[in-house]
Order: sequence, then C-alpha cells, then structure tokens
Amino acid sequence: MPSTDALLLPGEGADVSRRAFLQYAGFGLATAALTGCSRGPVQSVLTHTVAPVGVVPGRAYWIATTCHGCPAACGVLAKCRDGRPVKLEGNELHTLSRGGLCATGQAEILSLYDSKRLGSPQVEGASVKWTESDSKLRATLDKARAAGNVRLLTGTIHSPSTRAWIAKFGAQFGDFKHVEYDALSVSAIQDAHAATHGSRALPAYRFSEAKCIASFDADFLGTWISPVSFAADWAAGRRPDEQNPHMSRHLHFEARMSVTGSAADERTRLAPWELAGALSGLCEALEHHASGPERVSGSLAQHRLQHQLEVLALELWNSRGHSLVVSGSNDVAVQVLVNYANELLGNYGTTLSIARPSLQRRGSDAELEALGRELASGAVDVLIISGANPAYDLPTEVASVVTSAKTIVVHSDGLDETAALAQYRLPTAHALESWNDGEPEVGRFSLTQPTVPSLHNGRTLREILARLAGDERSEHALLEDHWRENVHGQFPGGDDFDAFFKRALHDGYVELEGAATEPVFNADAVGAASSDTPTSGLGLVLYPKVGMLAGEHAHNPWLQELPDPVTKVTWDNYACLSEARASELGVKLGDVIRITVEGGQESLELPVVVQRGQHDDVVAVALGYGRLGTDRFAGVGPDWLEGEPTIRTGETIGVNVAQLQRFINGQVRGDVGSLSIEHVGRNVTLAATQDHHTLEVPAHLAPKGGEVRDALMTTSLATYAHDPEHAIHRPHVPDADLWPDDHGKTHHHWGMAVDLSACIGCSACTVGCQAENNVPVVGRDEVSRHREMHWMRIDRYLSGTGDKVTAAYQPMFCQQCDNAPCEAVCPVLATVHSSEGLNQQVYNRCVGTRYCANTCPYKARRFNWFDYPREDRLQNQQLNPDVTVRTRGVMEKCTFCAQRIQEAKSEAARLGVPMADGDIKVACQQSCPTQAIVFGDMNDPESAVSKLSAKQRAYGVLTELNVQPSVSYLARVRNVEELEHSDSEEDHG
Amino acid sequence: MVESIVEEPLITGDKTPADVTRDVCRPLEGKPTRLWYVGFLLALSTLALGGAAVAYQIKTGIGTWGLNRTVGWGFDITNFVFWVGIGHAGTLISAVLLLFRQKWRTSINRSAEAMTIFAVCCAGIYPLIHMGRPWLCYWVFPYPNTRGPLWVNFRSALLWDVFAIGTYFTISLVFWYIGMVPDLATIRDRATGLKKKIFNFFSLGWRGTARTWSRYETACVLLAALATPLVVSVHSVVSMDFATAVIPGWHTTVFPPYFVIGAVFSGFAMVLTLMIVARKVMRFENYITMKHIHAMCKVLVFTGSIVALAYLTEAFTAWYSGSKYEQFVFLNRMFGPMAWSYWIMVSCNVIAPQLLWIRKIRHSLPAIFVLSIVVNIGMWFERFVIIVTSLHRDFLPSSWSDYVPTLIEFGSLIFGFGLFFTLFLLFCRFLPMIAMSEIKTVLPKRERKQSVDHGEAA
Repeated sequence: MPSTDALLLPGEGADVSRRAFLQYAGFGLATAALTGCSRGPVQSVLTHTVAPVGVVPGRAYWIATTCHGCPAACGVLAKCRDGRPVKLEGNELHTLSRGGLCATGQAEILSLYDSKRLGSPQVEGASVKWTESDSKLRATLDKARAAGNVRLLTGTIHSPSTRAWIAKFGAQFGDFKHVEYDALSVSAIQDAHAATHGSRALPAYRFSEAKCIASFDADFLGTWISPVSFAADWAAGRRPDEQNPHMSRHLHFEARMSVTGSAADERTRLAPWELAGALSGLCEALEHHASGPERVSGSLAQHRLQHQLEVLALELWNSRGHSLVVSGSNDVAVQVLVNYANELLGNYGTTLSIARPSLQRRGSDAELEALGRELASGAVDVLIISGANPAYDLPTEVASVVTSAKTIVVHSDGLDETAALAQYRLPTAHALESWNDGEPEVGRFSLTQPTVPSLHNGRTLREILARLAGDERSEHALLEDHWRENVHGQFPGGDDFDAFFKRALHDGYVELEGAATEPVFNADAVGAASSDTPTSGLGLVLYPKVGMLAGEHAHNPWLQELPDPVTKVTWDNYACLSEARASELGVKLGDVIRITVEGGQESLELPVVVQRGQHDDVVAVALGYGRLGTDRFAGVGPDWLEGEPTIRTGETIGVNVAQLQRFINGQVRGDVGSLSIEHVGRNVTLAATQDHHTLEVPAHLAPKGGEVRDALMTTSLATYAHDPEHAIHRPHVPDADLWPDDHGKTHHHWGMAVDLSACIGCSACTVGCQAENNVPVVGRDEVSRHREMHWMRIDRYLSGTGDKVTAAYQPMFCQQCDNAPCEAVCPVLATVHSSEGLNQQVYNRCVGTRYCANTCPYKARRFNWFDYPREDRLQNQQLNPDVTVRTRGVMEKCTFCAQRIQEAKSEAARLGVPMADGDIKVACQQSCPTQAIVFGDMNDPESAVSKLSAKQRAYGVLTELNVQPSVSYLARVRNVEELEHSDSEEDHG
Repeated sequence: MVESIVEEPLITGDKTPADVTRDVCRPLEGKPTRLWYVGFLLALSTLALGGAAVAYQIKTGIGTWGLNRTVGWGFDITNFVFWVGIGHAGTLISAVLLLFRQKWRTSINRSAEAMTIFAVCCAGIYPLIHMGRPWLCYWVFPYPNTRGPLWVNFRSALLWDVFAIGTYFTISLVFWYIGMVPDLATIRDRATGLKKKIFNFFSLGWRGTARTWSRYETACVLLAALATPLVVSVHSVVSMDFATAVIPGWHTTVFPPYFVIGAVFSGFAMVLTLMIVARKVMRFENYITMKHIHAMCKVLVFTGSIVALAYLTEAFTAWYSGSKYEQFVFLNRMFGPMAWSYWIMVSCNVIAPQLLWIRKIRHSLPAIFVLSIVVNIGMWFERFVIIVTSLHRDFLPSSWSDYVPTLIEFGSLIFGFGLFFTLFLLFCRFLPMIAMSEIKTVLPKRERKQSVDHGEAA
C-alpha cells in the first residue's frame, strides 16, 4: 500500500507503481459506476450517519396504525422495509377488526404511491407553496369573518383532535356550520334513533352475540358500515363441528344478490319498496309474541310474505335478547321499525348498543339537504370541502349547486370532480404519511402514525386548520397535545400520559372499559310504514361494490381489477337484471340498455349482467364508477396488435349513477324512482373472470350421475348434526400408489384448511395476495381474454332457482399437491417439490411451455402472456422486495407465501427456538376477516390446520385424481332444517 | 426381377434407364417452369407473412395468441402434432416398405422422405416458438452445464418429445441423404462448373463400383431397420404429451396407436396431395402412375378406418370408465360450444376417406386430390379437438373458458405451410425428386440397349 500522500497526490516524479495505478483505476471505475447507478441527488441528500433505531436494511419493521380506506377505522400494521411501507395487515390486537382487513384496506397501500395525487396546493389553478395558499386563504376567510359565512362539508370525521380543531376554527366565525355526510349514507338509522331513543346515534352492532340475525337489505358482510368487524363477529357464530353442531341462523331479505345474501341460511327476494311493509309485518308478528300494546297493525295478514315473516318472528322471538334485526334502508320510517323490532326482542344492550354508539358513520342527510338549499340560494360565501366529493357522489340537488358558493376550498387526494370546481385545492396527506387519531366507537380510540415522510406534500385537515390559526406545532405535537388535554383524562387511574400515549401508539388503539346504560326507548315514535311501488313496475337499486365502495377508490387499479364477488366482472359497472326480466327484454350479458328514471331528464346506457337471484322488478347498478380521470388507466395492460385499451382517453371506467339518487324525507335514497329500460342494440364485452356460474354442467352435456361437480360441498346443519360423518359425499380416493413416495416430508408439511362456512367471498384475500406477491394488474382486455393474474381467486357458484337462489364461495389457489401433475410434466424442472410439501415454482428456470398450467386440475397457474409493468412507476415502491417480479413468458402461482415461511424459519433458527403453530401467517389468511383460512404444519397433529383437516366436514377438492392436495376445505353448512340427501355411493375417479 | 404378367408395370411409358436419368434430371438442369415460379413465390410470400407473425409474437409475447389461463395450448401444439404426423408417411414408405420389399415405393420414396424432413422441420419450429422464453430453448437439452449442473426432467413427456423428434430428424436426414448419394453422383456427372463441384462434394466420391453398391445397399437396409421403430415410437411419444397428463380427454391409454395410425393417415394424404401435383407439373406421369395413386388410396381407406375405430374406442372407453369427467369431455366435444370442430374432424377423417371405396372416385385425380386435402384438414382438426376441447372445460367449472385464435396465431399456422412448401419447391428444383437408381431396378424388363448410364449397374 503506498502512502496516503502518494495515493492522493501522485505528483511529479512520484513513482506510481502498477499496484497503485490499479488502485486509482479501481477507485475511479467504482466511483463512475456508483454515480452511474444511483439517481442523482435532487436536493441535498443526507445519509444516515446515525441510523434510525431499529431499522435494519432489508429487514421489515411494523408500525401500528389505522386504515383510512373508509370510516370504519380498522386497525392495521404497516409492514415497512427500508423506510417505506410495502404491505398493510390487520392488527390482531385491535378489538374491532381483530386482524382482518378488507380488500379496500389492503389496496390502500397502492393509493399511497399514486403519482396522480395532488403534489402541492393550487390557488386558481396555479401551484403554490403552502405558505402562499395559507396566506391567501386566510385573507379569504378574514373577509368571511367580517361579513359572511363559512360552511365546512366533510365525510364522517371521528378523529377527536380534528373535531376539536374544527370547533376551534368554526368559533372564529359568526356563521359557521360543519356538515358531515356519507356517500354510503346510514343517516336514517341515526335519525330513527333520535326519534326512538332521543339521541341521534348509530348503534354498535355485535353480530357475535346474535343467535338469529334478520337482515333487511343490509350488506353487512360486504359494504355496510364496518364489514370487517361485522364479518368477524358473524363468523364467530358459524363454525359448527362434530362436538358442537350449532351455529347462528341468518335470514336475509334483499333485492339484489349481495355477498351477505349469499352467505345467509335463507334468502328471500324483497324489493326496496317492500321493506316498509315487511318490517311492519314483522313488528306486528313480534307484538303478538310480546303481547304488548299494538302499535303496528293490519299489514301482516295480507302481506305476500306473511308466512315467512311469521316464521321469522317466531325464530327471532325464540332467540330474544340474542337476535338482531338490521336494515340497510335509508328510510327513517323503516329504521324506526327496525329499532322497534330490536326493542321488542330486547336486543338493545346485547346485540346492539347505543350507550356507546358507533361513530363510523356520522353523516346527516337532513343537514346536507339544508346545505344544498343554502347553496342553491347563493348564500354561502366560503365552502370548505374536505375528504368528500359532493360533485360526484351526491344527488343532483346538491352536486349541481356546489359551485354556487362564492369561494370553494377543496381538500382532497387528487383532482377529483369537486376539486376541479375549486379555487383552492389543498392536497391531503395519505393516512400512511400522517399523524391522526380516530374514535370509531365512543370510548374506542385509534391512532394513525406516519410510515413514510410525505410523498406529495399533503396535509391533514387538522394541520391545515392549525396553520390557518397560526399554530406552527408539528402534526405529532398537535395530536399529542390534544390527547394529553382531552383523551388521557377519560382514562383515569392508569398510566401517566407518556406511558399511556406510548402504549396507544404501540397497540394502535386504546379503549374505555366498563358498561354504559342504554337510553330508554320511546315507543310513541313507532308507527306502521309503507312505501309506494314504482309506477312502471321497475325500480332502481344502487349499491356499493365490494372494494370500490362509493368511488373514492376508483383510482386504485387493484380494486378496479378485483372481480365483483357476485358477478365476477371487473373494470366496469353494469345493470344487473334478473333472469326473468332479461329474457323478457331479450337481452343477454353485455347488451347495452338505456335506463331512464321517470321524471328525470337524463338517461344512462349500461351493459347488462344477468344476475340469478335478483328481484325481477329491480335494476341494480353499482355506485363508484364513472370517476373523473379514470382514463389514467389507458396505459394499463399490454399494447399489441389486437389488444384493446383498458379505457380510451377521455372516457371513464364505468358510468356514474350517483345522480340518480334522490332526497326523500331528508334522506339520500338510491332505491327510489320508477324506471323504464330499453334495449339499445349494442353489445360490449364485459371482462369477467368466470363464465360458468354453477356447479351443474350444462344439462345437454351432463352424463348420467355427473350432472353436478362436487368441488364445493354444502350440507345442512340438520344433516350434519344427524350424521356428521356422512354429511358430505366423498369421492373414492385411490389408496395404493404405484410409485414409492419420494417426497418424504420429515420436518414440516405445510398445509391449509379453508372453512367454506366462514368464507363470505369478500375477496380481501385476493388483494392481500396481490399486495404480498407482486401480482400485476393486467387490464380489462386481458381479463376479458381470461388472463387475470390473481393467484388467489374466489370461485363463485350459484345454486337454486327463483326465490331460492344462493351463492357459495370457494377460495381457490395452488393446492400444493403432493402428487402434483404439474411437477411431472415440466421439461426443465422449473416446478419441483420441496421437502416440506411445497410445490415450488422456479421463475428463472421457467421457459414457459405452459404444460404445467394445462395439466393443473385446479387451473391455479397463471402465465405472463406479456410483460405487465405497473402503469404508475411510483407504485413500484410498493413491490415486496422478498418476492421476485416475474417477466413475460414465465409461469407463476401461489407458493403458500414461501417468503414468509422462509422468514419465520430463519427467525426461529436465529432465536434457536422451534417453530410454533401460528408463527407463519400467509397473506390471504392474515387478511381474512372471518379467519376462514388457516395455514400450518400438517406434520404437527396439534396444529390448527391438522385439527381442522381432521374434522368430518373436511374434504379435498378432486382427491379422486390422487393428486393429494395439501388444502382441506370444510364443507359449507347452511343452518336449515331440511336433511340433504347425501349420495352414499362412492364415485370412482 | 420377376415380372408379373397380370400386374401392370410400375413404370409406364416404356422408359429406358437413360430416359429415367433424363426425365428426373430435367427439372434440375433446365430453367424452372413458370408454374414453379408462381408456386415458389406463393410459398415464399406465405413464409414471409407467417414469419412476420412469428417474429412479432416472439418480440411481443405469447399473449399475441388467443390462449388463456385455461387453454394453454392451441394452434401451436396442434400445428406441431400435425406436422410430426405428416412426416410419418415418409418414413413408412422409405423404411417399412423397403423392408417389406414393396417395389412400388421407389417412385415416391424420395419425395416422401423429403416431405418427412421438411415436415419435421416445421414441427420442430412450434415447440420452440410456443415457449414463453424461446431464447432459453436450449435448456430442454440435457447437457453438462454450469448451473449446478441443472438437469432436465426425464419424467416429462415434453422432454421425450425433444429426444423423439431429434432422433427422428437425424435418422430421416441421414437415410434420405445416403439414399440420394448415387443420384447425386449422376447429377455430378452431368453437371459442369460450380454445380459439379457442389455435387461432387455431396456425392462423397461415389464411383459406382460393385463394392460401393454393396456397401450402399447394406447401409440402406440398416438405416431402414433403424428408422422403422421410429414410425411407431415418434408419434407414440408425442401422444404421451397428452396421455401422461391428468386432463380428461388427454389421459387415455389408446393414444399411442391412435396417434401413430393418424399420423400415417395424414402423411399418406399429404404424399398424395404433393404427388398428384408433382407428377403433373414435373411431367412424372410415367413414374408416379395411377397404380401408385391407387396404392396410396388403399392405405388411406385402411388407415382412415382404423382412425374411425380409434375414435369409437376413445368414446367407448369414456363411457365405460364411469368417470363423469371423461364422459363430460366427450359429450362436450360432440355437443358443446366447440362441437363444430369435432364434427369437422369426423366428416373429414371418418366419412370422407370411405368415399375411396367408390371406383369412380378412386379413378378421378381431382377427387383424390380434394379428398387428400380434406383428410389433412380433418387431421389438423383432430389435434385441435384433442387439445382445445379437452382443456377448455376441465374439472372446475369456475375456470371454464373459450378459445378464440388471433390473427397472429393464424400467421403462425401459415408459417408452417410457407416453410414446408418453400423447402419442398426448392427440393424439386435442386435435388432429384425421384430415386433414379431405385427406379431403374423396377423398370419393366425389355430388350436392353447398350447403356452408359450409371445406376444401371444395380
């Protein structure tokens, strides 16, 4: 080694040895290479001279926070790598969501990296710095303070600190009002409680306490209020086994086919305008049982569902105190009857409570309507809109008058329909990059922590209000100070504040303990209700699609490509018609119809989806489509000769139907109006992932005895209780093998069990898997060519006819067969069996013959037909560094999250402890709100998966092929009285 | 040579060995006819068009074909099996018929062998381009490598294909070439300049001595014996691509004989198509006589009937198996959404060849020509039916799908035909289409003229 001087300053006459020369050259080359590889610093770059505590490059760390995908506020843990979040998982400690996370929540991580989010505040269309927008806005507000008024329109805000800042902000104006609304309104429930209990509140529902559930068009497992916690509660009562063959009973009345309806034991078609009558009838029947005063009378005797309602009343009455009646109707009269029924049944305090009500929806449609009138009269000076998109998701009465305010300030994610109208556009900080808190139920507090520095320079509403007030404290300080002053005091006798706050941050939530008393029921509010049948005989049902909800997530490609659980259609909304109505009109899948609402000027053109099980007299259309700017997806999917773009520039994905909503008696209703429909004569291709909807093969192709496939087995509770061993039909499985078992799984044998009784088809697992395993989005055209890439799909099978139609869901993915047909056929050994029973796919060895996919009996393999890069390059930040990103020409499939298995094994080895059951949670299992999926080691007889697989309702799909799948399915049990005939004859495969 | 007084002579037109040499060498020595040019241009354009489609597909991805998550093979493997099948008649004619001393084969064996080689070339293209990453195609060969070494999967029927096709191509090429050496020498002797040099090189210094002829004939018989098992083995192996998979409609033990006989059937149909044109265009009516045509027609009727039996056996087995999946596949083939392809197959392969029982049809060249093409359409559809109708509706109804080929896929289909006909037309132009040396051995006995011709020594 030459001296440092010589190395740095090879001056004149310095003897540069060959070795030194090579050192210089090497240094120069390495420097050149390094500068060439890294992105040039945009601003000043600071290295971690002192690394953040606990952050190890390449090692994941978790931050407890709260999901802001909807106001349900489920607890999540954000998995971060190298300073950025890559995956959201449910927080198992959280007492509401208990570890589950819905499809929307799973997809939130991608929205964080949306490059189309607003990057800086805009004033009159020009991008400015926050300081500038603050001072201009302050001037505007000063003017309003002197003479004028300010209105704040937001979605539900249950953040106590934000509400405190709103109160503070409002107090400086003479005329200020804060109006909250929910695009998926449950305002009527709160107003009904105002009438019956004297407090406008949304009850906290406890489905786990309910032995009998009657739902009147409330899709509580799919989209209603807080589906994750409701599904977890619901599923708790629906796991019968041999020792305890009991489960809750769930009866469902609805107009369209929803996930909740398909999960129910009995499902009855009921049009929205029949809800009032049916609930009146139910209450009347309950009154008979209760033998109290008759407040609702006369409607039951001539009701078309008289018998069913009487049976329902009896069942509910038999479970009184542990039953629950819910309705998704936004009609106060209907909700009053629901309250009355629950009161008659004595359910307040057990299955639902307004002593500690839910704050997950606080919107008031009456106040919204009043604001609409005020706007229309031109009396609003400054309208501040935060976290809401009224120009898009509200009825025309309000949507069209937003612009009547003299100044509009919009605080939003991106340039949405409302922001487009605004003078001030203020970017929102994503929940994963900001501090926040929440109170989804009175007494339950959750905290939101930033997982990454702000990517787009956004601010929370609280920060905006604080800055306007001249408060320059940091976000963290704002939150912490609020908690010190206001929240900590509600938890007396506990830790000091610092410990309390630290614990809250660590867990993600804190909650008050102890009971509160239920308010007294005011029976005088009760009266029979009725509503008008549409004059044309055809009514409208507007519903939120799972994942997409009211449209706030329309810019998320994962959710756009997520098949609707019931229709299996992606990338579009459409008009669902019943089979009878479709054949009467002479339309089939994809035919475009024109829908005109009587008395309305506009008409909409939508393609048809024929949906079995839907009420004949309704047209059901999903909300949340037709969002401005969804033509951004024009670049999604491959560009090739015959390829169709996902969307053409200037068009939108689907059609917005929110304008068809109406204010009726102060509530926003999507189920009103009389419709006429006509066939336009065009046909469009809808991208659906499933074409054949039943387990029955087409009748004219059915061999004798082979009319029905038994991939998804169902039995009734009565059959199961009577003879659990023979409750399901088991195919003959060959018991002798020609070949010796050359896959000795001596250490671990990974397996999975899926409880089809608990699976509700919500598709959270599909998106969870997509996030974990870098599954690409392929675009509408590719999906319509049946080239979707989801490793985890939900097979949906409809059964029954007419009123008895139901749907069952089966998560389907690689079954990790022990005798895998795919392994034998690959010429290059790109798919091989591991010593732990995994069927491994070696991407970099795959040459892409597709032989394995052909021979897979489950069709669980997915091929990269093209390169499917992310259209939004920023979203590459979300890619899981533990999982290879596949290129074109390569086969891929579910690996049982091999990377998680490996990580858990390494961790166990590092700690020197044996692995315990539950150490590994695969992505789909983790996300499942109902814990329908269990993963574990089948070599361990005490593991949960072994115990489940040993249950008598466990079976394997296609075991008669002797492929020996490692996945057991637990037959779906419906709580019905009928004994289902089980074919005892063995079927030889 | 024993000459029958009742049978018609194999070669008509009272040809002398010198006539044979002159007739066979004529297309090689003169300028090609206008018809040849038209045909060659057509074939070349097809090849170029198909080549463009294939190049586009390799550049862009397999997605340019109409395949999907359920139907992973479509035109690609259909074309592959079709072309492998076409090749079979060549080997059968040159090797098996040689061993069985069927003299009538001499007129057509050279072209049939050429057809085999070109068909195998075409067949070899498809497994290559159907790969998702064709640039890594060499990974299917078991060779020592630096990746572990990472070996191939000897349990995979696709790998057996690699060996079967490789062996087949090698043996066929060697057999064809060795058989051609005396004729190449004849051309060498007649040529001048560069052409003479080239043919001199390829005729391996052939001198036509008795010892050379003796060695030559031994080699031919040995190679024929080597090639004979290939007639059975190659398509048996190809059939195992399907038979060893669990998919109903594929998982069938009858497949090896079923595929072999289908291959012979389609191969003879292709030989007929080519010979009917060639004898006309090349003016070889005296060499490829109606007798040859009739012999091939008989083979067609025979193999066609066995194919029909195979279809029946397959359907019977499905019914008898009691497996609902098997039974469904056959009902779905016959009456499902792709039933049209099944009925095309049955009409072309079962019904059409039976028309050859009718003497009038058997004696009408246009009718035979049309039938030979019909049979090949049918045989293409047979492979399509096996592949696509089995895959598109298998076990789980949730994954049932359809299959609509794209334009690019049709491009890949015509690519094979373009390549085949281009090669075949080049062969007609540059190599002796008829085995002169062998023909001379079956010329009708006649008063011998003084001959200076080479091949006559045999």
